[in-house]
Amino acid sequence: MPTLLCRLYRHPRFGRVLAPCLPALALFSAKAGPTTSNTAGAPPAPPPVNVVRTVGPWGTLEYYPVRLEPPTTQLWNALFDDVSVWNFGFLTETGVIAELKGIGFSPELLTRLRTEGVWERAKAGLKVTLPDAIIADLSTDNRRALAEWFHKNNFDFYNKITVNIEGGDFSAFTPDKVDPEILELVKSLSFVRNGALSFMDLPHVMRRIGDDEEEKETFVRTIFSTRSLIVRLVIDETTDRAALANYWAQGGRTSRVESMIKGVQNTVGVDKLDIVHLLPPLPRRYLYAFSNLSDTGINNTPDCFWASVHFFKRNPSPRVLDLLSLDHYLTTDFTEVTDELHFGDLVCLMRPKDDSFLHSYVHIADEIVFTKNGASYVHPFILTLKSDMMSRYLQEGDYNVRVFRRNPGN
Amino acid sequence: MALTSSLSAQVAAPEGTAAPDPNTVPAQNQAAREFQTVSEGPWGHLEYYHVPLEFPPEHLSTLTVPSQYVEWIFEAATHEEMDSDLAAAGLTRDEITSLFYGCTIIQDEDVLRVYPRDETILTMSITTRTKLYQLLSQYKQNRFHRRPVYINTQNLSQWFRGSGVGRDAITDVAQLAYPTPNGQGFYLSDVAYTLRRATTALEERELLQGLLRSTGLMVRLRLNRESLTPGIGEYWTAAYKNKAVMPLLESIVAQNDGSTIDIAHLIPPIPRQFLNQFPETQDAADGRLPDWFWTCFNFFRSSPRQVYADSPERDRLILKEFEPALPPSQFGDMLVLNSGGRIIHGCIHIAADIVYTKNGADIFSPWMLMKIQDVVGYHDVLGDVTISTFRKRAPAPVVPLQ
Repeated sequence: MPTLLCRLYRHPRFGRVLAPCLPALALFSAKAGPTTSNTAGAPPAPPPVNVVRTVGPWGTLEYYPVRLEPPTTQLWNALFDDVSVWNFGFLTETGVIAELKGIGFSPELLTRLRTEGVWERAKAGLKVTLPDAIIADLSTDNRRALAEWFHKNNFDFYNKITVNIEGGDFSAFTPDKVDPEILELVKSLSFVRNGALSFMDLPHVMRRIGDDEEEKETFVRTIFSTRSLIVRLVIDETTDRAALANYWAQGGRTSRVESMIKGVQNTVGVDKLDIVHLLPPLPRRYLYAFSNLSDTGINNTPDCFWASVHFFKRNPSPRVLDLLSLDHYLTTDFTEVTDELHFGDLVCLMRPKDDSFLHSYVHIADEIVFTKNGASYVHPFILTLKSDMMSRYLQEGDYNVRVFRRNPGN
Repeated sequence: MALTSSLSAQVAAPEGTAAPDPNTVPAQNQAAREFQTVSEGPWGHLEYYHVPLEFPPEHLSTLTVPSQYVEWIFEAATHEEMDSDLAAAGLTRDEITSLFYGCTIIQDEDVLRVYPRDETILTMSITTRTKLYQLLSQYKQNRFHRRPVYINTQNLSQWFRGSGVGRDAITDVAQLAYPTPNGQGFYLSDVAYTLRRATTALEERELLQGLLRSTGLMVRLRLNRESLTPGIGEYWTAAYKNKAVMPLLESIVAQNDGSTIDIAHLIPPIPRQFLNQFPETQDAADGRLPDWFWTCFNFFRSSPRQVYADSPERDRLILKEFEPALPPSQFGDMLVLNSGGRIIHGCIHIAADIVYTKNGADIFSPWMLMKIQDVVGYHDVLGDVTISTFRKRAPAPVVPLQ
């Protein structure tokens, strides 16, 4: 269990309700259920060019998706564990059986769980180590029900074992990365829950791969790969430079914007500017990158709020990793607004029942946002579509949106 | 004289008037620059174009505006000592006499402040100007001789396009610029002289902003299925000193075959953060602004360390974290410029002849991409620059996060 991540879940800024924002393993999910196409054997057909344009006060943006894989340095040992364990916290064995019966486990399965599973009372709770046969015999409904039970009753453990497969399909699992047999195994172990394609048997797959460390690493990098966007501003001789600069500069914070646009406009054969050049310094530094040890504090690692609150900053502040309330920054450095979204606005999603924090991101333009979905080292800072990001939070139910605009000079 | 004449000729026709030369004076709405390609290599297929980087107007107030009267400061207590220095710099007796004809000289503590006639400034030969200004560059009081404005093209109209600098001032620049000692581009040291073209404080600010802007390169890597090889991924990964870039490159080809990626995405986080940016006051929170060594040393680091070119530990850090390397240079190599028996600058090799550089420790020097020959031209005031290459040592074995 990664110690730093364990600490994260006790973050008083958010309490339990923030936890969906901080999964150790879970990626933001998942719009659809698993695909039924079989990629085994044949190389994948080249996907079509998938460039989308959007026009608005931000100018004309052109974007297409890309996939980012966490480098080796972002992977920790626990990801390669090959022992399948369920943790039931402070329940007794009898209590566990009753709970599992209540969520639909058959009497036969429960009997085998009692006799074939290895039960152990540890400091972290009551654990049962599972043999391959039981894992193989679980139905999709069993897995879905168990995931929901862990989500409700042992959230830290849920975050540790659950992976939401990015994009809701297996398109990342190309034959050059994942053996088709392993892919079929993953498909058989996956389940759809509230629109998210989920998987919670990584140790089982590690056992099946065996001793091939390279294959294990490739598999882990694939299953944690993240979809992002390459976004470019289209610029031609008719482009209203001042209007664009007004949108992207936001009160002069990025005052170099106009000269960059001018540079493109004055160059034959160039009609697009990657918006990395229009972002403030800090998001530019982290875009498509991963946090690392030098970014961490004693209690926390960069998460969605860290990425959002630093958006217009030049250097990250360790203070943002401290155990502070959300309002610490929002009431002083920001003003809550209700008008049309501006570039750089910090958007917070709050639970309606108690106005507690669920997630935050930064509005870029149209449906494009800047976000870091979770505090895990395998989650990069990305530009993505709001709909993709939001699918990660479908399982959390309703939310309210609050928009904050950084005050000038802060 | 030929080079100065060449510069002058290219500003002779005012914009929008008769017979503009499309090669030098762009007609309205006509783009002035084109993107260029560089030879293919292990880095893939690169394209680039120039982009002017405007000095932030909010920082202009930090600039001490010089008088419009050109001032030469000699670290000499007497006229004889000054003449001796001029002779040692290669100036003949006739040249010295001509330079000081009708000038005003103020003896000020340990220095002599010389105010030459306008005619002297405008008419001195290139060889005289080069020798004199090389000498003046040795004295730190001569700000614009130590760090002249560097112009990497003969095409001044293109150079100043969109800068707001008027044609009269550009004409002055054409007369006053002189070739660098190694023949790569031109220097302008007589910034003060051009100020007489400004009749208001606003014009003055626009003129200085135009002169102080830098020209960086925007570089992009063109990708398609045929050209994307593992070798390209390895080049930009730099033996795992940089992030794994191959999945990103493969993804781009899969989604948009034949497209380009800005190489801002291929350089590490710290240089990407600062690319095409001028320093801000926050960058001086530790008491000073980043310089070339800060820039080079921190290129692959995940968080910057405050070390500078004059830090006592500089050479120890170079020996500890880098090793001498022979050509061909690799992505991330540190190229060190030596002149007069000392290190005067360093920059980071990106690909082909493109480097990542911060050319000064001051607030006027942005982090940017340049051609190495322009970096040499910028710094080679004495004309004797040699380059040494240092390669970042391989990182320690990866310890998985716990």
